[in-house]
Amino acid sequence: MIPFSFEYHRADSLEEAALVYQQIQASGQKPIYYGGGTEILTMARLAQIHFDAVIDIKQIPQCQRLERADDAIVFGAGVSLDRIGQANLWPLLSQAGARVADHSVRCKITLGGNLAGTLPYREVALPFMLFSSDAHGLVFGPGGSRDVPFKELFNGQLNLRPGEFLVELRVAQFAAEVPALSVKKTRLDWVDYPLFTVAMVRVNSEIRVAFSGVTGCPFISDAINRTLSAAASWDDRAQSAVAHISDSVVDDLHGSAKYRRFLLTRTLADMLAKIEE
Amino acid sequence: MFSYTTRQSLILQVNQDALTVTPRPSDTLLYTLRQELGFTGAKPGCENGDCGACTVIFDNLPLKSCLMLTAEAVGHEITTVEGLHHTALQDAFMDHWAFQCGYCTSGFLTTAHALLTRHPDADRQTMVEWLRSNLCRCTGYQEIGDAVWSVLQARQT
Amino acid sequence: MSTIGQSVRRTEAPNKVTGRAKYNADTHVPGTLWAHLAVSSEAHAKILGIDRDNAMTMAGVKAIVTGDDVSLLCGEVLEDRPPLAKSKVRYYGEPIALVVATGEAEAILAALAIQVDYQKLPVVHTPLEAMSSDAPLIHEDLGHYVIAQPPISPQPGTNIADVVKLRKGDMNVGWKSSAVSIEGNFTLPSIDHAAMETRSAKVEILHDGRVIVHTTTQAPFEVQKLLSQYFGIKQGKVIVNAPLVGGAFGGKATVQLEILAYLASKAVGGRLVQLVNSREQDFKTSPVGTGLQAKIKLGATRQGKLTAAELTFWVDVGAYTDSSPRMARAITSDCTGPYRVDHVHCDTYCLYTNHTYATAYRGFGHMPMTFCIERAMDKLANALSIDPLQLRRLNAIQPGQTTPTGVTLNLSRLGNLDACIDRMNDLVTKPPGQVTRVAPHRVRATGVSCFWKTSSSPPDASSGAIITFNQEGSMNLSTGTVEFGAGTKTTSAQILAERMDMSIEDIHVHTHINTKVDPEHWKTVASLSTFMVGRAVLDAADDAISQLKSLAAVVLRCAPTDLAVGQGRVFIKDDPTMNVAFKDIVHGYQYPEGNAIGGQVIGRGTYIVRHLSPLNPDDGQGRPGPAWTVGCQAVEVELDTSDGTYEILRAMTVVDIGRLINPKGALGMVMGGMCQGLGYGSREAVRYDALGRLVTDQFRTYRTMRMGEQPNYQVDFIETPQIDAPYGARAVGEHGVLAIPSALANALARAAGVEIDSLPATPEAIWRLGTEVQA
Ligand SMILES: Cc1cc2nc3c(=O)[nH]c(=O)nc-3n(C[C@H](O)[C@H](O)[C@H](O)COP(=O)(O)OP(=O)(O)OC[C@H]3O[C@@H](n4cnc5c(N)ncnc54)[C@H](O)[C@@H]3O)c2cc1C
Ligand code: FES
Ligand code: FES
Repeated sequence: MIPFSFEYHRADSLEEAALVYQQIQASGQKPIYYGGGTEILTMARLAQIHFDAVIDIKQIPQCQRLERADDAIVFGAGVSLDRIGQANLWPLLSQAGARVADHSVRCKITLGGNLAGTLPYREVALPFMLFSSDAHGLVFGPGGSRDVPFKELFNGQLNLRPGEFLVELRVAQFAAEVPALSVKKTRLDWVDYPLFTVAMVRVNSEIRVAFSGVTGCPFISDAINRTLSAAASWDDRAQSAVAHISDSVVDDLHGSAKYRRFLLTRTLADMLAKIEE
Repeated sequence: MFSYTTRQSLILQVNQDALTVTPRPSDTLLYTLRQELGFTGAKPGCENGDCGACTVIFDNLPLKSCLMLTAEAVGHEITTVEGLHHTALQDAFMDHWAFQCGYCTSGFLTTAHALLTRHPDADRQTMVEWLRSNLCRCTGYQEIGDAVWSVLQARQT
Repeated sequence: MSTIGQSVRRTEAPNKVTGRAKYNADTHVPGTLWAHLAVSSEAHAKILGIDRDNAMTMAGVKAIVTGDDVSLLCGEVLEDRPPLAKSKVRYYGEPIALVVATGEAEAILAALAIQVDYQKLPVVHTPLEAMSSDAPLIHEDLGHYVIAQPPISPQPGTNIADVVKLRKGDMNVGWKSSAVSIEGNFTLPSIDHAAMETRSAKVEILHDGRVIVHTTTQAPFEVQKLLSQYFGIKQGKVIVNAPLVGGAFGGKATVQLEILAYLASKAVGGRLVQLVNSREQDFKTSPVGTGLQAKIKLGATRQGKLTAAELTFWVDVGAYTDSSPRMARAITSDCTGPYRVDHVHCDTYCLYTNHTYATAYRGFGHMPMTFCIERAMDKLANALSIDPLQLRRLNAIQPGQTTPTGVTLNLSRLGNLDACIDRMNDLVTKPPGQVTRVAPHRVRATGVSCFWKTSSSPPDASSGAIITFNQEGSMNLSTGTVEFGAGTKTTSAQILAERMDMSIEDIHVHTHINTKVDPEHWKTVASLSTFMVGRAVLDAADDAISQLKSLAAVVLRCAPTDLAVGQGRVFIKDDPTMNVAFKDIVHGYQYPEGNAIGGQVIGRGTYIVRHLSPLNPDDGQGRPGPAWTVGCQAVEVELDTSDGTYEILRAMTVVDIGRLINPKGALGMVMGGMCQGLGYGSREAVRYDALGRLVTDQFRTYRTMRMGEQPNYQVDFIETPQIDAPYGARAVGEHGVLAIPSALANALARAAGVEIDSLPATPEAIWRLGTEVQA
């Protein structure tokens, strides 16, 4: 049970959500936006976070969009990972999302919650990171809505101004049309936090890769992408790519830094082989 | 806007009945189902989303009721294991010895029931993907898989 | 039709698939107070002060109890454990203060507000560290503790809580007659029981002094005994209720929360108080299954006959002993594995560390013990270049030979290990020594292992059964075993149905134990329930039958010896048409004119284990259990040699079950055990950080098997009856788990060409060992 008390507000519109957020804050209390709640509730139970009110934004119609519009694909921040997988508008995102938690939990975890969560993995960010010049986010807050290039919106974590929340992410349709792969490696179990997750695409002859679980937060590196796109054997490219990842490889309960490096090298080589076939 | 700020009464739709409850806004659905409504078929195994013993069917989806606020459930259709009556699935669980202590059983039944409703054509891989959401410490899992598979197959032929 | 050998459904099955089955925390009485524990955030520290003032003023708080309020030391064998830490903490998660409040939320919030001032002490991380002469002392008062249940040999001034010695034969002779010897060092982590239902207890103290307990326990009578003893309450006034239990695996045979809930109730004038472990506290505050370190040296002839075994086990008991000294004796008794070894030298130490304290876990120490001996056997097979299964067959213990503790075996006591190994030889299809390459980086290999186990129960463990009749002639059966999934209730109903030659539908068993009305059963542990309760049930059935016959003899005007029972009737053996129905006699017989004779038929039955004796402190000789269960297990893996990842393809068990009473029930118990064994072999481990703090306190970090990770199971039974057991059935509840971790490690070791002598065998561990071999 969650020991402390807080208020529950379910907003029907973007404006309502932002307004109630400001009102609660103005009364000296702490509101937080609420998506799937899977992280909020588990942390609240252990009193690891504290707040006075949650504002549930997931059923606001704009947060529920999941469709193709013009030349883009739109993903509402309140859409569950399960629905993203079912609709499969962007197979790479479906793949990355399909390995978060387990199926029942994915019916609850939202796109926005996974990006904004405390855990460093944020695996659903990886596909967008690969297309950061062709992806945008819509955020809403006290100052109304803002359309933000994904590059600015997310650099390992979500950059929002106080009182803002994510409404939707958009990516150019072509992102769904290039060869792509997402691979998650765990210590052993299928359902587990990742040792790392790697998403890779090939745009013409250019290879792009985004990583989660390797260092603190998800990252993408031009240098690594250049290395991986160079003309060399898969193994050589993989090795030099991992050599670029300097010092801060995660060393934790799930696996040592050394094993992560080793496994990452192999995984990259395998992925290159697959994607260039 | 629906605001639920202090303990008041709410109406939940559980097992096809409209039931009045008075939870704190911070009470999870699991807590309310058990403590207020006596639907103790939903079990706390971790209250952390990991074990699935608390799974209920929520508008045809399996959801872990420890990961949901009671207030969030207003306006939705909830089915607990107590809402399953004489289903082929329950018989299959008994016939396949798909449980020992039985503590995980409600969660497996609700997950599997949702699977049968949503994907009557599920293949083995999909079945496993859904049932991975639940932990059992007593059985070898094969019994549970066989029980669910037997019902899926009977539907599919 | 006989019900023995039929897979009759569990008696409680319909309730379990409809959510109606009630476990301890499912019944909630309004007005119940809630207790919550504040626990230690340090592994080893002096408590300089506990500030409860803030917490005391919080909403709903009724009482806060700390170690200063309680002068009591608990322990099943050695009284070394304060229910609430006193002056120091010895493990992370140890109970420090108990808050009682009007609601669960209030209790949790107040517990969070309790401030503890610690002075950190150096931490003892492993049993071998604990042995070292300069190790920090965990129990300064070891010499002054009360021994509740001898034998135990604590060594004051050290961290050695107990030493068990076993000497058989003459080691000089043993080594001299050996041509080959191998040595291995093993390190195994603690395991968590991880039952899906966390532990909980409710206690109410009534004005007349009666103490009513509801708890998640495998040992309601032990709870009754200990509460009575610790708090000076007459045993008859302690009434313990044990409803269905949501998994136990030994972890609910210990008495912990009951004591705390009693203290909580006492602090609030006896009101009903409920204490429920969160999953985190179930992991870190309540006891775990033991880990150990070991050194094993085996000697054998060139042909592979074992000649000598020298074994040392350093058992990690954690902060307190609980049942570990008994477990150390169980390990020692069976220390050679099921093999003939004439010369044995075994020392088993129970060592205090700053880990969560340990209690029984499925197999009572035999799983880690078996791991060590079976890994050693594979090393020996390699040294001798003998097929691993053949080596085991060559040494398999036989009737007429003696166990390490000097028990002379016969077929009934032992069963047939040869037959198990031979059957396994058919199942594995390829010789286990062989490694097959299936792709450039992928190889397959099979590992095998054997196990044996006896009960190691106290020599006076007893059980009882009571049968009453409903007027319609159906029967009610009451025994003292708890139903936690092992199906003991169903089995005892089958045994009764068989003896009465009645339909199982007409047998109604109590599933909820109440110590006031149900006859005592020692503890539902050690896989002994079918044996002991079964014997008591048979005894009660015979008692009822003789009463039925005496009354029917009057009605049918014959001698009782002319009569037999069956199908709910008593009939004349040579003319079954002359009979009387149970319904007409079980509540007395009424003549047509109205007079009545006889009275209710109530069957009583008892059983007490016989001929058991404690191990002699000097040489460990003695008789630890009535019989053994033997078996052989195997695991087939496919390993990716380049990165250590692997798939468990098949897991196999052949066990001598004596007699199959309920095939699907037995199969389920064995497969479930195998699944747990695979979990321990591959991923499970209680882990601590550098400061001794447990870091695996959720299922996200304490990994157990999930659907889809299980292999193909193949289970086969050999039936060599245990003559003194009900219908010949041997104990099998624990055994599925025993040799699986070692079989897995043997398979992986062969496939990877490395020595896997510690667990869990994660891909990373295999990869690391592989890189070491290459370097
Ligand atoms: C059993 C289990 C297994 C898990 N396994 C994994 C795993 O493998 N990998 C992994 O990455 N995570 C895992 N998680 C954690 C999971 O990622 C997070 O719980 C989840 O991503 C949070 O999503 P949510 O929608 O539930 O977010 P919430 O709990 O609702 O919110 C999380 C945070 O995001 C903020 N937030 C939510 N929506 C928005 C929005 N639209 N705009 C701005 N801020 C927002 C909230 O304020 C909060 O701070 C697991 C969780 C569980 C229960
Ligand atoms: S109690 Fe909800 S998942 Fe375990
Ligand atoms: S039957 Fe006990 S946990 Fe599944």
